Amino acid sequence: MTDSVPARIKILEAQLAQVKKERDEYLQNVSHQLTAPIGAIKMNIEALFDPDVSLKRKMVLTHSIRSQGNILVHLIKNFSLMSRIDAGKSIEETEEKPIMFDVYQLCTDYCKDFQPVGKPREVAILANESPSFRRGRPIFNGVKSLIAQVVYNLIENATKYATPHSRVTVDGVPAPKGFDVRITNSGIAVAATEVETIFERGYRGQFATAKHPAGTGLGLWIARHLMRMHGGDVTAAATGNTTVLSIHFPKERLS
Amino acid sequence: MTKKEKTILFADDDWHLVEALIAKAEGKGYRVLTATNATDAVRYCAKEPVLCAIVDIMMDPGPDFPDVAPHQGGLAAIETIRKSFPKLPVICHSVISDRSLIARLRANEILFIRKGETTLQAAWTLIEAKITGVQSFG
Repeated sequence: MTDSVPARIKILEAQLAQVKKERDEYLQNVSHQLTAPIGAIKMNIEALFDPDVSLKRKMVLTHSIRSQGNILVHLIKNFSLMSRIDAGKSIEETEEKPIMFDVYQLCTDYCKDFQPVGKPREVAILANESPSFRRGRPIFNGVKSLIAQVVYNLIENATKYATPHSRVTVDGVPAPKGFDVRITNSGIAVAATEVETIFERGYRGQFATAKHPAGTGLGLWIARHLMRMHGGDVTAAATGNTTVLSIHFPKERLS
Repeated sequence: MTKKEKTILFADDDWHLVEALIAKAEGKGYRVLTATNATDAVRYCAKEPVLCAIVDIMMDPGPDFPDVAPHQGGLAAIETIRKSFPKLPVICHSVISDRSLIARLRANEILFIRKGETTLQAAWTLIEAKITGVQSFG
């Protein structure tokens, strides 16, 4: 018995060292994610006061500041949602109450917001003008800021991993259990074995990690949790290099 | 010097993060070329009169670098540019904090500017100094 105690202490110390190492890597990752957009905003604001920069360029930079600001807000929101999800809060316990809102409008707004993000690699982000989506215009009863985060996280994921000169399309179709919004992209492959594990907290696909080492692995996990809080879900399907992320809006909350 | 001869190359797949620097360079009368992968960056250096190349680290290598890992394109571009065009000043503009990598870059006469922590004015002063050769920051 006395021999096993030091051995157990050694095992626990090794586990603690591993946890600390993972925490430090995670925090570095978070810091990296925040540094880039904050740095861009600072530099762009400096450029607005710079007499060498043309007025035309300054107009473009103001749009860029707005876009980077939105990215930061959502990034920080992801981190705060993480702790809220950990606490196991239900919709009824959120400060913001559910309201009826237009899912199509939400999706098209985010498609516009992401255009500057896709532009450097010529990735176009488009809301599909299919009749079922546009005229159907599903009205959903939910906590709007949380659903907004779901849509944001999925479009961000699709854009980040899309191949240059490709499209990310956002489409909506009626489904047996309600309404599905599908975000499709061609880009980094999701291995067949990973279509479920990509929703695990902190998990990043093998190909995604190689391409973008500094990701948090939180976006899809958060998106799924937030939709499940509303009785819906988020799922993934992958064929070759095409990935479809689907947001399932439950009919009980649709009008 | 004609405008074409006053050419600066920015190699970054997130060029909206260097938009301010691009705007400043254009405002100062430079012609700006942008590349979003290592292959395009090196090809521009070969065929255009680039005065200075400002290169990010984490970007696609592109087709000319099939054996380079997806997030190491910038390093491959820097190495190739230094070897093939030794007189062309190269600046590394990145968020990385790996001290040993930064030390290696500096040892190879590559100026390192930390993204997110360098003001526009400071970054531009360093870029212009590299172009004109007035001061050494290597």
